[in-house]
Amino acid sequence: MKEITVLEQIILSSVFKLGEKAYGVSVRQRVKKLLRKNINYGTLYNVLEQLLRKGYVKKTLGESSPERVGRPRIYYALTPTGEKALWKAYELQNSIWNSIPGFIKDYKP
Amino acid sequence: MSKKSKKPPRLASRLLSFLTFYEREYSITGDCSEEFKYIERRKGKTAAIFWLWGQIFCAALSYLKISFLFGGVMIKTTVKTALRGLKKHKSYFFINMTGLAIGMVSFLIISLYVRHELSYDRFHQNADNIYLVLRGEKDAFMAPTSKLLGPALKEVFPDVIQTTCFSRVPGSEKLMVRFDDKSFEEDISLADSEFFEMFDFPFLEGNPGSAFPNPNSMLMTERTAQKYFGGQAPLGKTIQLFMFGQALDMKITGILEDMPSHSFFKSDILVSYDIIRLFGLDWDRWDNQVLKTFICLREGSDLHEIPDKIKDVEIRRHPGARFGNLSYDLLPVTKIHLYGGGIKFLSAEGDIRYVTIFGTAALIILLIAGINYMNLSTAFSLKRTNEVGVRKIAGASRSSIVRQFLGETMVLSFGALVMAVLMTQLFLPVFNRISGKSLSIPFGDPLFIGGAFVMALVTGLLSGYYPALFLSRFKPLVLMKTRYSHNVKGTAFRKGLLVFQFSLSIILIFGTLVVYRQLFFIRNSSLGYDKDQILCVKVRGDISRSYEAFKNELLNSPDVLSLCRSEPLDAHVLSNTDGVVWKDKTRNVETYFRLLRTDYDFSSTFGIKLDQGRYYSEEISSDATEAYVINETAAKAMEMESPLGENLTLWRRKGRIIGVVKDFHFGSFHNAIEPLILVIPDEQYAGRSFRLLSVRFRPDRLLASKKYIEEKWMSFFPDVPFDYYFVDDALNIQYQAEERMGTLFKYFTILAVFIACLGLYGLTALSAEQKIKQIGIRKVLGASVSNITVLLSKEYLAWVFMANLFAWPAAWFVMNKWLQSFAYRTSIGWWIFLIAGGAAFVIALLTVCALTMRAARKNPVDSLRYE
Repeated sequence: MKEITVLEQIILSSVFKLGEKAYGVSVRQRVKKLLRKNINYGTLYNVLEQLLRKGYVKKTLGESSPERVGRPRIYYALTPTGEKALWKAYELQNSIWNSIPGFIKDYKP
Repeated sequence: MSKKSKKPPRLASRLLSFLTFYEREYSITGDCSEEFKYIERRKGKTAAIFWLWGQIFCAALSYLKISFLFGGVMIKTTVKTALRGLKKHKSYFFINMTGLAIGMVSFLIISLYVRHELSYDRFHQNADNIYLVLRGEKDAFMAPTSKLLGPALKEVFPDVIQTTCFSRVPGSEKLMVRFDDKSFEEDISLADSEFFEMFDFPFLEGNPGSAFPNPNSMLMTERTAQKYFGGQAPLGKTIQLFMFGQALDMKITGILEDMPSHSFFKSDILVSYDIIRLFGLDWDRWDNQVLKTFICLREGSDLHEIPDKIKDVEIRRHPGARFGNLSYDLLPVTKIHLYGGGIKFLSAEGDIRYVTIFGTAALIILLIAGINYMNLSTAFSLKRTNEVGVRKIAGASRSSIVRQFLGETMVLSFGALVMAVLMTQLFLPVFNRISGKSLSIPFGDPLFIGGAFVMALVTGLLSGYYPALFLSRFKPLVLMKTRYSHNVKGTAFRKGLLVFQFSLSIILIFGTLVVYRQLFFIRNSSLGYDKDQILCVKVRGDISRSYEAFKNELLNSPDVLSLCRSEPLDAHVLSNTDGVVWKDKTRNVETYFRLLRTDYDFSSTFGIKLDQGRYYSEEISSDATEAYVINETAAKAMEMESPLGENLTLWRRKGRIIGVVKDFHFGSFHNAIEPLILVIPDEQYAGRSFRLLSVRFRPDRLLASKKYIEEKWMSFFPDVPFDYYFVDDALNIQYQAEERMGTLFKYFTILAVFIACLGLYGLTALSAEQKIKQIGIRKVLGASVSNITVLLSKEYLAWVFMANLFAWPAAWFVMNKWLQSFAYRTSIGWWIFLIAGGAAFVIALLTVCALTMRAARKNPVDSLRYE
């Protein structure tokens, strides 16, 4: 299994965290908060599509409302492979940071 | 919150769903509208709208990026399919690409032209603050002002930073310049040193600060210096200038860079304003309006009051003059070229009307070519429904089919662009010759390259989108089973377009006919004098001393009938005065008279007829001092019933009118004949004012006479160059602008007709393709080829016929307006309408018939086989 990018990690984690309420608007808000910068829908859906193709997430059609001019929400959820990939990313990150404890203790930007 | 504001703007959401690819359309548009609402609630509507458009912008960017990426991946396949199509349908591709390329060529050439026209004199550092001072009456301004005006303005107004004067050497077209054995005619202008402070004409050699140390200093452009001196160093050289009948030794004090073609100032040689003092002339007077005054204003000066203040300055400093309706105006230097046309003595060549007309024409041509291209591609794509069906069955998504079609049109439109650039390169010299410009394709200019790229992209996208979306919409089964069963949308629009194209063609044919007819009229109408069999010599030196002997010598020959000396018969050169007083002259009405200085033989040489009285005669001594001959218009202007014997005072010289000549044309046909006074000048001025020697020779003895006159000239005046022309030739040159317009019209007509034919061809092809089964069935049932041809053609021919109804009034209106610019003009006869309409009709008929006959000839088996 290939490593996943940071953006993919963030989005996967957001989808996980949001649980049943993970769809476009909410995911974008969360990613924005984590990244501390704006991310537009084009980018977001690009990554989501990518994840979908790799089988890390699955999507279900939700309810439509007049608020969304009749367009249904599309909910995303992690698949078992997606969870595995996220866990692998966590392990990798962990091992990276654990390998340089001195850096984390001493370095102050 | 009102109900209306609950939804995001419709245009925005439309755009958004257009820009996002199909699979994502639902989620993104939905998400955006949802979030739009949140933001609206929190930060207000404006912020929300801003946010939404920001999203759209991002979407557009990534859309383009993805399209290109896909293009990159798919380009091999796309090009391959496009090339396959090319091989299979050579004529279609050729016609389509040529049509589009021709549209692009005209667009490219015209935009180069427009760009050049708009760029005049913008390269000066202070261009936005430099103005030409105009003097005259409201709506009838003239460019020349007094030499004293500039310094006076600088003194009075703190806002005027710099002033300078500039003018072509007054009273002559071109002057002769000679160095060693090389002599050429040159446009020579007067200027002062400040000229180079105000305008950016860099010096290659010499010092701009002291450009004219002496009255006989001369500046040259590099090009001209090369012409005279070749490799030698020009600075400090002495060169001969023939001016006002004298030869002057001039000293080169500076070499300028060649003046750019997009500048109003085009002189190759500049001399100091002080040169006129060498002739004993002094123009530093308020009543002498010869030079153009330019002023440079401080940044941000208020322009509104300046003209009135300038008038006050003149009134204060110019005592004892009548001012009447005198008023001043300022013309920005960047506008001289395009807006200076109506101003007298300015000789601005450009015309903003032409720029707008051509600019619009370019856009319209490109638009029409694009739409024709779309029509043809749609017609063509209808043949490919099977292909699309098979692709769809094999699993192609709608977007991939759209991409395939778009890719093909893109290949075609970029192919057309390359073709267009090549063709432009090929046709630019032709265009330059017609228009008198020197344009070239600025390959190094990123703006141009970007513009051309965008043009190809946009044409490709717009014209390919419709067929692409249209074909990709159907279910495979529909595509495979029923051929051409639908009705193409927007037929009314297409037909409207066809009518428009043909209207345009008819207008242009009409225009060409009218222009050429007017030119024919000009060439063949009487000028009031005999223009044939007259040879003129431009006199560039003093020939007064031995003129009598020369005259007698010439008259000895049987070929020479008569000869005379005079000022050139050219309204640009003849002086203009209101210093004429007669009995009933009403004060405050300024009547301007032209003066033509002649000798006694003028009327017999030019064959000018007398209306009343007699012409000047050498035998009557008082004729030289107290007699006047005027033309009919002058008599009318002075409101004299019987002008003979009336008193007339010209510049304080009293005299009587002894004759009235019939009106003859000394200006162009654009202007009505002006009041004219023919004058015999004093002996001492004769040499200076007689710059033309005219010889009437016997009919059919043109070459012999010319040779004889030249020989005699050389033996009598070896120092003065023999520079001759024939009057009828020179007259033709006068209407160069009109001839140019005629040629341009001609080319535009060809272009418009070609494009219109393409449009017609496309539409007919479309309908023939749609009706192919109908044709088959009709043929099986016994219809003849001609029956079917008529059936298919008649509708379109009816549209072309209708185009006439639109075109005739419009063409009449436009061309009538153009004719109004001539004081003497031809009429627009009914036959012009018929020819223009008929020509368009015949061309359309040929186009349609060629195609429909082919469709009608087809074997019905081919079209009905699968039923």
